[in-house]
Amino acid sequence: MKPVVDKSVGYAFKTEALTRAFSGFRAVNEVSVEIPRGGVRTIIGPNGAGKTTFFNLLSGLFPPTSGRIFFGGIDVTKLDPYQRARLGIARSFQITNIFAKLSVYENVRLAVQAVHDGAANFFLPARRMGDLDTKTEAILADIGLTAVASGRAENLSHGDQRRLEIGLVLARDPDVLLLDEPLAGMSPAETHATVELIQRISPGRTIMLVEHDMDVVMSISTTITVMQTGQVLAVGTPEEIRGNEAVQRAYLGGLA
Amino acid sequence: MREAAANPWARLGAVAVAFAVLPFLMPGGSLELNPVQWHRWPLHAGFIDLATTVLVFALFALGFNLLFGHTGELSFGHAMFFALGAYATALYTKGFDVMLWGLHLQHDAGTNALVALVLAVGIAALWGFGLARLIVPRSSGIYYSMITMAFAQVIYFITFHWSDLTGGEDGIQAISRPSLPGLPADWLADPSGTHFFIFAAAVTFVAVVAYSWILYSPFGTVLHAIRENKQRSRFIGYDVDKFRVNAFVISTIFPAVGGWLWVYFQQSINPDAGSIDYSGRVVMMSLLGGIGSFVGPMLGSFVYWDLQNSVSQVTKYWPAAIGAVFVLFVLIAPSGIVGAFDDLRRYGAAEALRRWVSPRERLKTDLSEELPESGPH
Amino acid sequence: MLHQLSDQFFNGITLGMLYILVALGLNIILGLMGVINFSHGSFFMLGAYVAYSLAPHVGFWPSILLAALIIGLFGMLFESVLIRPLYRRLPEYTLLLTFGTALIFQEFVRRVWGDDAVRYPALPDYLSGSVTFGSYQFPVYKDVFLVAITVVILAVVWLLINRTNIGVIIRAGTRDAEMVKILGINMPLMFTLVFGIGSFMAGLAGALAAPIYAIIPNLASQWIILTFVIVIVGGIGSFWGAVVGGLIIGVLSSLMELVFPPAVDVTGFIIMGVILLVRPRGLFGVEGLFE
Repeated sequence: MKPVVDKSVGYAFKTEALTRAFSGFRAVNEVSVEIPRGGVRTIIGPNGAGKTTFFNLLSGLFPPTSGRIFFGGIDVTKLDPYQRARLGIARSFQITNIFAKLSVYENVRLAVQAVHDGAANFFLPARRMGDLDTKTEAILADIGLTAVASGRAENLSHGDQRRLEIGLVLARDPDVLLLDEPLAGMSPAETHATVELIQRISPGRTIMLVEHDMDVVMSISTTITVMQTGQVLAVGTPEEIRGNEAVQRAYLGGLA
Repeated sequence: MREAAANPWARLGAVAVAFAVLPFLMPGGSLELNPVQWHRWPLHAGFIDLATTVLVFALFALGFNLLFGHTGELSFGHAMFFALGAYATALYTKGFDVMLWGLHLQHDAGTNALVALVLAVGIAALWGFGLARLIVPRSSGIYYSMITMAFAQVIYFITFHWSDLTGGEDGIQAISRPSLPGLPADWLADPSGTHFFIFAAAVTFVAVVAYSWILYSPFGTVLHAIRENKQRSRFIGYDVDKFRVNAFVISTIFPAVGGWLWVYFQQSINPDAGSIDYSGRVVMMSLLGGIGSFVGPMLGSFVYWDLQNSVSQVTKYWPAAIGAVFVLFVLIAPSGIVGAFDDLRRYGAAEALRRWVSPRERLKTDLSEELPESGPH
Repeated sequence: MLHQLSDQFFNGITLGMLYILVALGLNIILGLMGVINFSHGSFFMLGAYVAYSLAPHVGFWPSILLAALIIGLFGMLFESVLIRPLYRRLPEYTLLLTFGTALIFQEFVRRVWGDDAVRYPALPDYLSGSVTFGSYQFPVYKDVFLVAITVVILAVVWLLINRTNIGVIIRAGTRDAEMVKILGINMPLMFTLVFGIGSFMAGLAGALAAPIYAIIPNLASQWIILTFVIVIVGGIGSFWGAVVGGLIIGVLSSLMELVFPPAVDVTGFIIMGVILLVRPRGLFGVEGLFE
């Protein structure tokens, strides 16, 4: 019995007392939140706040020590990453995580093939192959990498690799995208292009973002969640967060 | 390793031709084995027999390579499937009559080679399936390798100690070659070894075709993805463990067929077939030839047997020489001969040489540091 | 009957002691560096052979200690020349390489000492014979000396790992090699040192085993697999895992001799199978410890 995602629920993710401890140290500590659907939901916080761990829990990289996670009305706490991917949760990584030795085209195609149940077949009918190719080309166009499609992924520029990763993530047409520092290490031009890509793909989905680039965070976020030492400090619109004293204190260096 | 985008048909054609000329490529000269029978199996003299041996182990290596070269999982005990296939064939052909904890197991001698084949593959695949279901979700990387090696020892010890069934240390002897439909009953028993070679070549070629089919199918593509980046594969929605299990089971079929051929070829079998030594040999062959490439394992089998044959005539310590060559390859040319040629083609001699000698980067994608990739899960 | 049981039990303890030393050596290396040295069994074997060769010239104690030291130093050389280039690669390659070197060591041993079993000369008087407790006999060497030596070594190693700066680095290094590098500690040197310690233990175990077992070129392959089993049962990289695992397998295999002799060799593997089903990380293993 495949669980069916209830698209009408108002939240993208809901967590209940979500906790993850590493040898006693609580990286995520009893977090109970509802991340609303739609828009760009950014998570910020000082280093060690637990942002990436939180993402890891949501995407299923490792199980929580305690607590539960809900997605579309389904309790996904115990599901593997591939099961969550099939439900519509997609995730990109802080350190670029692509198929380095394969070509850009093959990278995307693999992601597209994963959507077909026949992925494990020894043969796909020829017309299905055509389908996969069409879809692959569409995604390549979306992320703007058509020109470099035949080259090896590892030979791409850093910015292009990050965008390839987003492309992989898009292949399943997910409801929720978890993007972990997608702009890390990018030049201003690359940042601009990627932000534009993120905004372009966000209609109809929920984008959850971990980012440090405050200008970007302030300009594209629908809401911002601030984390500190494994707990949620504040949630609000960029204006509310900007004016929040507790946040300013926690986040040395200011937000303005 | 990236495959050159060659036409699979051309590749298969090349393999067919290679098989056809194989006996003529075997080294000549006296082929007596040196007096110290360290590994104690008899090898008949003759180029042809060496060629047949190359084919059998090519089959074995293909299965191993599917797992290591194409899925990235090092199974260091793959000889257990070779042994299972071999012993299944031997026991089917000779029959047996033993007691197992009160159960009486008995079977008369069988003559149908096809039944033997089905048994060989069936038993190997069944054991492989059970093992994979146990091991795959619980381990990966070298932890996985350790465990496969350990379970291979279990099979080895069973063949060694259950003497009533398996003949123990001496194994089973005097197994007669089967008769093939449409051919004279003793066609395969041809003393020159030519007929058997033809038979082996045909079987191996069919296996190679199947192997090619699997590799170039969507299934094969996913295996490559898993090899390149297991974690990424999970996150784009592949049930990686299921693929790993399936790959493991498929990889058991080839050595099992190899074992089946081997028993009819040698007309005997002993526990060495499932030993670490044999597991190690196929690993070495594959690496020498080029893991992850299509022809690598077969080429590796050819190179290995030529090497062993030549060196063993010079010294009785030939395993050391082969070990040394292997160590050299691991250090300098881990992509094997095929990889070396690939490098030469792509970079030219000077640059290729520079790369071989200088520190090599990781051969697979560096994974996110967050999740330990190897070890127990 | 009880005598048989006791004899086998203590045989198992003896065996267990040796297993512990070898497994701990492997675990130290595995835990810190994440690589498997398949030639670890070869080092065990070489320890036995070297002790055997030295004994007529230097006597008992020096033969054991020198053999272990030689193997330990050799291990360090081995690591710096052959293993170090492979760190940037997947650990599978270290396993492969050390398999190749194990072949070389085996043939080397055959060349130098021949194919037939060699036997260590007689033990010094104070270590021969047995002590008596009531109607039970306990061979001095196997049941008293070996156990004592192993306990001492274990204590030293435990102190090293838990109470010294080097130990802190060893323990930290597993989890945070980057951090440790930043602190300016020479990690390559650490690795070589740790590899040397692990190899020393294998060599020591071999030397200690020399007086009581037949020394043959097969020793390496016999012991390495069993060591793997113990490591799997006890838990990768775990000190207590090696101790408990070694003891359990040593004792239970020996007792199996009384229950169903053909299964003696397989006992350890059965235990391993159960552990994998029930607790795949091993008895004392840490989840996801690897790198």
